[in-house]
Order: sequence, then structure tokens, then C-alpha cells
Amino acid sequence: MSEILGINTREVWEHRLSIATILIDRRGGTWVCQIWAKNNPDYMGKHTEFDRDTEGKPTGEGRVIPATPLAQPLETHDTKIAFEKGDERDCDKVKVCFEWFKSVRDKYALPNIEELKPEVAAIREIEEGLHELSRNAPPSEGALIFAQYKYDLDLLGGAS
Amino acid sequence: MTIFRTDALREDLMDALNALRGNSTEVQVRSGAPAGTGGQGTLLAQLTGNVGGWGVSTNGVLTSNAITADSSANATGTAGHYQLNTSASVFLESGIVDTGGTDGVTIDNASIVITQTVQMNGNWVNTAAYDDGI
Repeated sequence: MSEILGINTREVWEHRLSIATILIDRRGGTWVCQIWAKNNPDYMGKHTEFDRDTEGKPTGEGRVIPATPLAQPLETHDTKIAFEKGDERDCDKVKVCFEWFKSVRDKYALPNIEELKPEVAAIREIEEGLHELSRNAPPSEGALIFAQYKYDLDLLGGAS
Repeated sequence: MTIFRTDALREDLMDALNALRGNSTEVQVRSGAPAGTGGQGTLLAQLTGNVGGWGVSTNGVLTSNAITADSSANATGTAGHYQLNTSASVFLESGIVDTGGTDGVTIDNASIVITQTVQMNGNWVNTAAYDDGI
């Protein structure tokens, strides 16, 4: 069995084979492991809505709409390890978290995980190649834009 | 209060941000608004920061190295915010994604469809402000 190095999430979790993603939150002063559903209700902050006239112009003072409730993790585990400035890549601390994630991983597996494993392995192999291309690509300034296009290989039965 | 920063300080700020993000950063695209916590909304796509390191900091401007695309988007939905984690899923930050380019990160088309490739058209640029203004 591979040793957990505490470097990359993929040592213990592949979100494409799971109903959930993992997160480590240090904002409360200790290292807390969190498991989040991949599909949560969208959060919307407090805002004001207006009635509008026939020309679309707002009328009246508007109604204050409170913020929606924050989604919560499916499960959490406080390791009690203290947060220290600059420790975000402390492998020993990450290892402790990874051991816990690995211990609960099977509860959150997709029901058709065995069918998906070969396809996810193919995606990983392609992305490893993309990582190498990215590593060697020179940096360039430009507008920050996410873009999309259809993927050519029919990996999951939906691309075209 | 208006604060004015020296170029040296701006450089230090971006150097720190660069180190914090590190290599192979998880760049998630999610639905809904950011809330300052991780995990909100639906995970639509996850790109990966450069394996060699996040980017290059020069004169108070941090420009990312090439970010690896998500070759198969995880879900269908409308992109609303991004979330950055370290390569080991330690939460770093979240922020707005929209098509208007008025705030946060710009996306060309907020409608993401499952299995599509989601990629960066350019590099992620952060610029340290000279002043915080009012």
C-alpha cells in the first residue's frame, strides 16, 4: 500500500469517484478536516430587490433579502493540531488529516465507482500530460478568462 | 483613510501570495456566491495550478504560470465563484467569477456543462494595490 506523503489530495481522495470533496480548514485555530457534498445549494449574500416599472426602472425603497444559509460540511473532524503561520504545506500535519480522510472515504464513494475507475484513470493520464505541458509553458500576461470547449474523446459518454 | 504602499512592500505582498498558493493549486469553479468559506455551491470544475509553482511575482504583479485545464467538468451549472486550495486541499481563498469583468475573475461563458473541458485562456494576474483608497 502506498505511503501517504501529505503532499497532494489525490494520495487519498479522487473527487470524481466520490459524492464529496475534502477540505482542510485552519481558520478556527486548529486543523479541521471537512467533507463537503459536491452539490450544495447556491449561497447568496444579503441584497435588496426592487419592484420595477414598465421601463424597468426600480420603484420604491426595495426589499432587503437576507443572506441564504451557508451550506455545511457532511462531516468534520477536528485534529486539534494548532494552526501556525505558514504551515499550510506542513506534510506531517496534512498526513494526519489524510489518514482520517482515508478512514472515512468509502462512505462517500459513488455507487458506480468500479465502473468509473477506468475512465477516471484515463482522465488522470491525460491530465498528467497536460500538467507537463503546463510546466513547460512560459508565463504570459493576459486577461484572466476561463474558457470552455467540448472534449473530443468520449470519456464519459457525454462529450462530443 | 488612504494608505500608500511602496513598490518594495507591494513586491513582498505578491511574493507571499505566490508562496501561499504554491504548486499544483486546486482551482475550483463553483456555482453561487462566495462566502469566505470553502465548499459552497456546486463543484463545476477543478483546474490545477502549475506543478512547478503558482507563478512569477514582479514589481507587485503576480502572474500565474500555465494552469492545467479540467478535461471533464464535474457538473452542469452556472459559474459564480472560484475557490483556491493548496494541492492538499487546505482552503486558501474564494472570490467572484462573472462575465462582466467588473470584479473578481472573468469567465467567458458562465454556463458550464458536465464533461466539457474548462480551461484558462490567459494567466491569473494579481496586482498589489498602491493604496487602499476609501
